[in-house]
Amino acid sequence: MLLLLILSCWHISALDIKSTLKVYHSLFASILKKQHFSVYTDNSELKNAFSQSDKISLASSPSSANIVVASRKDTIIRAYQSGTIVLTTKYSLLDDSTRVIGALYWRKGRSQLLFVRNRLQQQGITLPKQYSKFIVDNL
Amino acid sequence: MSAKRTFKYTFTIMGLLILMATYIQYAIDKNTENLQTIEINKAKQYAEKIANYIQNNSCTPISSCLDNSIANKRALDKILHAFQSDNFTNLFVLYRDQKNNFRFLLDSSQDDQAEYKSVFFPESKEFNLIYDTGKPKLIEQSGNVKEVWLSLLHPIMDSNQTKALLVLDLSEKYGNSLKNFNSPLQNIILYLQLFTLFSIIFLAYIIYDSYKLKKSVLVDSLTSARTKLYRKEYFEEHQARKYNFILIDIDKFIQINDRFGRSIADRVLKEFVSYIRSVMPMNATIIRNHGAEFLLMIKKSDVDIARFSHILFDNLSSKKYYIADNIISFSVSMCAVQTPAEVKSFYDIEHIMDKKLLEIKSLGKDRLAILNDISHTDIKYKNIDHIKQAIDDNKLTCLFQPIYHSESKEIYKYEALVRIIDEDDPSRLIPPFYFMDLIRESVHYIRLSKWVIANAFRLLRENPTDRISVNLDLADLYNEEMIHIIQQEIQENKDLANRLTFEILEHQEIKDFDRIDMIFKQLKQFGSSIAIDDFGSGYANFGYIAKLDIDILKIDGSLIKVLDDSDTKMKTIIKLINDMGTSQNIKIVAEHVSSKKIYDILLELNVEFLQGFYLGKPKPWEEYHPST
Repeated sequence: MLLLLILSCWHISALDIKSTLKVYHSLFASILKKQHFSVYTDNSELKNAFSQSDKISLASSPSSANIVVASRKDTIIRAYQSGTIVLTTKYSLLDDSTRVIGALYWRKGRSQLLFVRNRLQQQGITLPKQYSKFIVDNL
Repeated sequence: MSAKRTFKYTFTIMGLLILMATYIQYAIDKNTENLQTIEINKAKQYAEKIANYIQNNSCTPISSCLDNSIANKRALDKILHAFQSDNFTNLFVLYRDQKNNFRFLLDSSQDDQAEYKSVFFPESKEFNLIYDTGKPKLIEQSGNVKEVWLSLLHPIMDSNQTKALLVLDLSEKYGNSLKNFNSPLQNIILYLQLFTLFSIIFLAYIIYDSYKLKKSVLVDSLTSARTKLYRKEYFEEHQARKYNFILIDIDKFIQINDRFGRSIADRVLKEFVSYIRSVMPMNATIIRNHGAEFLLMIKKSDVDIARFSHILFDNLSSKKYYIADNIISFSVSMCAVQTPAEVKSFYDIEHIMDKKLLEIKSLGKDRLAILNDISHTDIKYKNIDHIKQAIDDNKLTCLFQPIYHSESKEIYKYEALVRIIDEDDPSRLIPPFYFMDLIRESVHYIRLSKWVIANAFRLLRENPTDRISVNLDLADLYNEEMIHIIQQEIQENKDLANRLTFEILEHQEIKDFDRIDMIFKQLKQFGSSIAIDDFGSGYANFGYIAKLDIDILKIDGSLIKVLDDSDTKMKTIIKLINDMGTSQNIKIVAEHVSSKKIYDILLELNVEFLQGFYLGKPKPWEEYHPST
C-alpha cells in the first residue's frame, strides 16, 4: 500500500516536471531562437526539473548561461553584470528590476506568465505571436 | 421447501437487494448533489453581499477611489480577509484596464497578497464575458488552476457598468469534503452491492453444481434411461392426461443374471434400453423404475399406443441379444395404458398399471395387456387417497338386500352392503370391488368396518323387528384390533346383538379352527349369529360344519345360478347341503336367486331362506321401510 502511494506520488511529480519542462522549453526556444540552452537558476526545484531535460544544460554561473531564471535578487544582480537575459519566478523581482524581461509565477492558484514590452525591446527580443497576450506595456 | 423454490426466493431477495442498493446509491448521489447546491448557494449569497458592501462603501470609479485612499483599500482588504477561510480560499477584486488586462484592486490574503494593480491572467475567458455582461457566474475550474474547485464571479456595478469583479474561489479541499460527505455510506452500499454480486455468483455456482448433481441422479448410470426421480422431479403430475404409458418388465431377468453373470446381464439391459430408444417416438421418455422394470411415457399425439405396444411387444419378445458369444432372449410382460382424460395425476394410473402387470405375471408372464377402457371409477376408487378422503368425509352408505323366508314369503333380514358415495356425483355409489383390496390391510378398513357395524346397530335400534347381517372377512378375525372394535360395538348394543348376523367370507383356508371357534363364541356371546358365506366353493366346505359352531350357511351363488340351466346334478348337491344343514340345525340361505325358475327350484328343494335380484335388489334402507 505504502509502495503504491510512493509510486503514485512519484508519478505525479514526474508529470509536474514534464509539464514544467514543456513550458520552459517553449519559452527558452522563443526567446533564444535555438533548441539547446544553457540555463542558470538559483531555484532548487527548477534545477531538479532542468537536470532532467535533454535540451537544457545547467550553467554554473549566470555569466556562462544563455538565460537566467532567478528567484533571488542577488542572482539578478550577477546576471546584470554579465548581460545575460533574465526571467524571474516572482512578480516582486520583475517589478523591482528593470533588466528582467518577464516572470513565470503562481498567483491565486493560476500560473502567470508576464513580459514587459519595453524591456523585451531594449534587449532586442521578439516573441512569437502566441505570447503577445502576455506582454504588458507597464506593470 | 423444494430446492427450485428456495433458489427462486433467494434470487428474488438478491434482486431486491441490488435494487435497494442501487436506489440508496442514487439517493446518496442526489443528497450529495443537493448538499453541494446548498453550499454553493451560500457562497453565492456571500459573494453578493461582499460585492454589494464594496459597491456601497467605495466611491466610483473604484480603481481611482482606491488610488486616492490607501487606508480605504486596507480597510476593504481586511473585510475581505474576514470572509476568507479554508473553504473560501481566495477572495479578491479585479478591474480591467484600458488594454483589457485584469489587475488586482483588493485581495483578502495577508500572506501572499497580490500587489495593488498587478496584472492577473485568469486562465478563463469567462472573466471577460462576465465583466461585459455584468451577470454573476459560477465557473468550474479545470486542472490548470491549482487547489481551486469553483470560482464565483460577481460583478461590482456602477450605473449599469461593471467597474470591478469580485472573485471568490472555493477550495478544492472544500469541494472534495462535500463530494465525500456521504462516502462512508457510499462505501457500505458499494460493499453491499459487491456482497450481493458475489452472493449471486456463488448462488449461481451452487445451482450449477446442484444441477450437475441432480443430473447424475436423474440418469441411470447403467442404461442411461431416466430414473424414477426424474419423473417425480420433472414430470408435471397434472400433465399425465397428455401421455400414454407402457410398463415393461423383463420376465425372469434374475435367471439371466444367474446364468450369464452380472456384467452380461447389465449389457443386456443396456442393449434392451438402447433398442427401445431406437423405436420409441422422439419425445418419449424411458424410465428405469427398478431392476428390469421400465416405464415408457409417450405423448398421446405422438403414436397410437395400442398399435405401438403390439409392435414393441412382438419385437421385444422375438429379439435376440448377441453378447460375448452368447445368444440371449427373453420374454417381457407389458402393460400399456391409454390414459383417460379424467386422470388428475400419474399416481392415479400408476397403481392400476402395477396391479395389471402383477396380474399378467401371475398368469404366466410373456403377455401384453392394453388398458384402453379405464373408467373414472377405476381411476378414482383404485386410489387409496380418494378412499381415505371418502372415509374421512363420511361419504359412506349401505345398501340392503333382503333375505326372504321361503315359506312365509316375508323378508327375514337384510344383508348390509357398504358403498362409497362419489364426491362429484352423489347418486353414484361405488361398490367394494373397486376399493376393498386396496384398503384391506390398512387402518381405513377397520374404520370402514366399524362404521358398517355401528350403522347396522343404529338401524336395528330404530327398527325393533328387523334383522341385519354384515360381512366380515376371515382375515378380520385374526386382526385383534378389529375383533376389539366388534366386541366393543356388541357390548354397547347387547340388547340388539341377537338380531345381527356376521357373514364370514374367506379368501384363505382356516388353519387354526380352535382360535376361530373361540372368536365365533365371543361374537355369539349376546346372541349374534354366524353365517358362512359362499359355502360350497373355495375354502368353505363341510369340514367347517364339524369344527365350528355355525348358524347359517349361504350357498355360493355359482352353484345357484346354474340351476337356470336345468342342471340336475347341482340340484342334488344343493339338496344335500340343505338336508345336512337342516339335520345340524343350521339355516340355509341360497344366494343369487335371479329368476323365477331358480326361485321355484329352491322352493321345491325346501331351501329355507332365499336372496337374489329376483326377490329384491340392494336398495337404500328407506326404500324397504317407507315409513322411516
